[in-house]
Amino acid sequence: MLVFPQLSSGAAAQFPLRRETGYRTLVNVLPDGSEIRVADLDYFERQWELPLELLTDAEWQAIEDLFAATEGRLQSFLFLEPGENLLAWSGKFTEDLWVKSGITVTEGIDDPEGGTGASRISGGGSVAQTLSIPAVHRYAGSIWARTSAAGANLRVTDGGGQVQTAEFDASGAWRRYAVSTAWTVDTGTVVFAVTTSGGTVDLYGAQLEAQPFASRYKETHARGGVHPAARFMSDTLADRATGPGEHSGTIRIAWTPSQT
Amino acid sequence: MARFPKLKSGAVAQYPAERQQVYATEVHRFLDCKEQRYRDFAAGRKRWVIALELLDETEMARLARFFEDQQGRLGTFEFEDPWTGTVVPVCRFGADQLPIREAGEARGVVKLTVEEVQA
Repeated sequence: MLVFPQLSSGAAAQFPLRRETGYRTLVNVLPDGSEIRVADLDYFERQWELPLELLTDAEWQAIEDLFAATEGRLQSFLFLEPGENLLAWSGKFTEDLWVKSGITVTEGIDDPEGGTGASRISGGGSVAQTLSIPAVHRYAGSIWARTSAAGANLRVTDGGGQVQTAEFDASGAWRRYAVSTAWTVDTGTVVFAVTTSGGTVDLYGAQLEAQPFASRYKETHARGGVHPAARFMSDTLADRATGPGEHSGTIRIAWTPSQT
Repeated sequence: MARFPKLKSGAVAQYPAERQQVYATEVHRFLDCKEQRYRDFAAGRKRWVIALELLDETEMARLARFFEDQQGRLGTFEFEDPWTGTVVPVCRFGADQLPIREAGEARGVVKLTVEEVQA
């Protein structure tokens, strides 16, 4: 599987960066000003412009290797959107994407940001979402939790023996928990889970990011930041060397699900 | 109906903001320089240009999800006029693209247009 590489820092991009979401809508304005709008159902696109500065030889070589493997715009690769939440339905544990085992979910619970976007899980078991992404990338998993019962935790695993956990305290107060991965064995899978041994746990803001540390919560709906068939937008990759071991360039990537 | 999301401050827009009032008038000029004018739209429309800066990641994600839920110009939503606080019941985005620029952490920049449409 071809994957856009992370830099040695564990991030995939530098600031500033630009992302764009695009649709195609036909808008027919009638003489009285009313509109008939029709969506092009086959078209949805996300684009990123990533200016990269002062990359080391190894960092640039990894990008160049990917570019050679994809032959520019020809082949696709997996792109984990920088800074985006990789989980889908990050605030809706009732969705089928979240595999529930031994627990029930209640929505509409007050959340730490003053809304009612939290969910309550009851019973002993787990709620988990599995992503087909390389386990050897750096990841930061995070979630807000509130419980008075001991034995609950955030658990990020590779589906095998590599595990990072954060135990929830039983103080009954909201707190954000985070784990960071730096695994060496690639299983091609990362599982984000919350496990509980009983009682109730309130959850809000599940987030998995392809970077070493958690950033602010970004809610996702049906699609997260995993883009399995992204493409370079150019057949040319320009390396601007500013000194020994100092490479710079701007990478443009597009993901158009209907065309892959 | 969905409502355009507010920032964490509770505001919809930041300065400088722009509001336009739009009419559609047909003008026919004759050889003797007389004119005939008539309106196309039954009433005027409003259009807002919203330029936002220093957004944090949560606010950017909220805007992006809302744009995706509307699928660009396709969907309609309620919009609170930042000048008056009045909720305009049927609006849509003015473009099918939503570019977001991130100059740094919690330094997101978004510029978008919201247009009132006939109910």
